[in-house]
Amino acid sequence: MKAIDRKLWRELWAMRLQALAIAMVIVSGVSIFIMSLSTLDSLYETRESYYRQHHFAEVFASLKRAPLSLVKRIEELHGVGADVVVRPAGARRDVAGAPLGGYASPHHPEAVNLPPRVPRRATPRRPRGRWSSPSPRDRRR
Amino acid sequence: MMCSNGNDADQPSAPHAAGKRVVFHAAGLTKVYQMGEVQVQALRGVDLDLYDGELVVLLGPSGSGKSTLLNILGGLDSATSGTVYYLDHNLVQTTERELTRYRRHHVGFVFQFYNLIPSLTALENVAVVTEIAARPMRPQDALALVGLSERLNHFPAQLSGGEQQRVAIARAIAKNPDVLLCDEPTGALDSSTGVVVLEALQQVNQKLGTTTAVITHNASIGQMADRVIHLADGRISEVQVNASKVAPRELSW
Repeated sequence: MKAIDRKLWRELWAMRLQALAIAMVIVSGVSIFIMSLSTLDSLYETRESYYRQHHFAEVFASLKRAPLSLVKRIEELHGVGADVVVRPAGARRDVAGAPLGGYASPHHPEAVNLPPRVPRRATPRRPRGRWSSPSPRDRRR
Repeated sequence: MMCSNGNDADQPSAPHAAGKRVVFHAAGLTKVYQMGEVQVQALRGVDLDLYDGELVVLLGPSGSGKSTLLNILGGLDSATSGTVYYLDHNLVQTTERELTRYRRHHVGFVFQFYNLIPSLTALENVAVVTEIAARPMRPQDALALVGLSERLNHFPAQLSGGEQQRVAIARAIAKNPDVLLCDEPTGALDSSTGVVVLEALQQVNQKLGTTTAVITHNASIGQMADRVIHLADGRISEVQVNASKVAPRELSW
């Protein structure tokens, strides 16, 4: 071993406690960094999973009038396919301050017109209540 | 090692009148340090020849320009004007890279404070140099030359001041330099320890024939030299040639 290398190792040994402390600080920093990245990644994954489960669209496009046959063509697009959600045009009515269905507080009800051929996954989430339908057979809780 | 710049007009003639080869030739050497708006003139036109194998003592008060002159001769500093030749190599008109090679291959330095590496033994301190030198002697031989054969494996903290300075001398001579430049090598030592260090320098000068220049404040050290060059206020005020040299052991201060 060269004398200059001996110098390096002896001086490193002499300050081994400081070197250890510095190494631990570096290891801690790197660990926290990796944990932060993992947490962030996990949060993104959770969000994606939640949106996927509840059919939350990533892209919204509004238009006045389009045939339903367009859904099939859009679903055929690469990377879009099965996740296309069609929310047909609905009639929104704000009735602020009006009591509705036993609720005491003001409500902003929204009425959405769902054609019968729209896939179920494309329907908006219904936290509670029931679907309105002209046929009692189609009523679901 | 170094390349000649091809300017032969100012080159010294060798050998000189006394029959010895001129190792260093300085002419009209000036050095000005710019300290903000203040100019400090360290050298004011020094003309100097140092000859092969001689032991020269540079004597003078603080601020007389001794260290500046030695630093320029050793390639540690550059002159403001004038010429300095080491053999046929102009040290003024040269690159930093060439100066580094000049210092590495031709010059050994000994300073007042020993600058040893505390984590290496005496042997290893010398080996640091011999491992990169072109034509080194064995570190053991260099230490034997300064009388430290029994202290090879001692760390600097285990050595006295005089022994540390002798390790520094061994380190300077281990690469077989052509010139040995010593800036107050006994400045931090008491007289008896200083004598031992001076004996080591004399040994090197006599056994290896290394041209040696020693800076000192101590006039009595001049008695062991071939020549004593007195500096005052940036100029050489007197050059004294010793007809007979005194052994370091007989010096006292």
